[in-house]
Amino acid sequence: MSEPSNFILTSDFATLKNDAKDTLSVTLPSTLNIPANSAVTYSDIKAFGTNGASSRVRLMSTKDNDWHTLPYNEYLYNTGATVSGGSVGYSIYVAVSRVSSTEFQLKVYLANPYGATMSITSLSQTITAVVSSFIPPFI
Amino acid sequence: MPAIVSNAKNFLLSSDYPLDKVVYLKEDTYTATIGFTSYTVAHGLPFTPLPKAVWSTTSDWSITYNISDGVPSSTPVSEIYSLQAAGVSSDATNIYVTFLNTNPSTQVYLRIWAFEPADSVADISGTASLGDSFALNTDNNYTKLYMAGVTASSSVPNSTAAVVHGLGYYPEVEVWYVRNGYTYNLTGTQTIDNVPFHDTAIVTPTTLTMWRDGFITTPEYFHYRIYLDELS
Repeated sequence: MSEPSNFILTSDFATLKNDAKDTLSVTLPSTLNIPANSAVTYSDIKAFGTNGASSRVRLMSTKDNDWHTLPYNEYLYNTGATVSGGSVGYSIYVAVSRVSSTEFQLKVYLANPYGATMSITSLSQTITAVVSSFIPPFI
Repeated sequence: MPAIVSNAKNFLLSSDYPLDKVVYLKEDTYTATIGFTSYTVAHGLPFTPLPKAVWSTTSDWSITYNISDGVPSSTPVSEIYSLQAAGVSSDATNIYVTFLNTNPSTQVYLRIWAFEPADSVADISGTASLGDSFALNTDNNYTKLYMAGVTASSSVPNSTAAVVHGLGYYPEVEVWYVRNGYTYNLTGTQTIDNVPFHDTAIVTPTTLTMWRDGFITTPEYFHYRIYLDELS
């Protein structure tokens, strides 16, 4: 038995190993019309990292300019869309996921749950995810 | 001679900065039934640990999911995921991994690990024998801890707690928020017109700022770990 915080390095406790890093980005158009009851997706996929690794992520939208650290997903809820002439809010869902044993994906969803076309203006932005994978002690 | 931080991040490991010490390890399987369910395991530690986890739907871990990640739904208008690990949390007794499943029962595979909070002083058993073959191996580049701590508690919605790290670059960061006796790993967030809405961590080259939930008025505080390793 030992107190972990008393040691800089100790072979008594498992630790984490750095793995790989890369940057993913998606650019949204200025205007977008989403048909009724449907979703539009944008994605960027890159091959990096060891399967089984976890990751730390930094996410930013150029409309926000704050780097949100850690979140593997974000809802960016905004006012400013219209459905049948009426104003509605809309969500941009951003997710950083491993989609295969070799690839990470940044995926951006915009969904229209309404029964008519949803029109969004002033949507233009680039969403960027900086991903660093690290290997937990199981591998 | 004091450590030069900008050099230390380039080392596989450095005796000037502590390695992460994993105080809990668990590999297990769980049947996620339809709806909201929780995998629960007793951690046996004399403190509430800071939990992390990954999971998979296959025993060969061919796709490893983070917490808050999941299996994409075929109907994304109504749901993003058909199976999602919604969160990992802990209390004084257990670690919990919560699943939201819209499918029939699904077998999932879990790997859970945890850190000791910065405000804890406890003697505990080592975990090196539970992990991979080598405790330390110069083939690997190890994560190096720069700062760790606990913020003050506040019940003011959307209030912030800021930690100046001063590294001059974007460091890797881990954050957990604590409410009602539970410690939650921060893995997702929401903003409304660019203003944080739920618990959020924002990093700059000098500062980590943690935002409390925008609506909850119960006391809340954060655990944080800032690494020398650069997230760029």
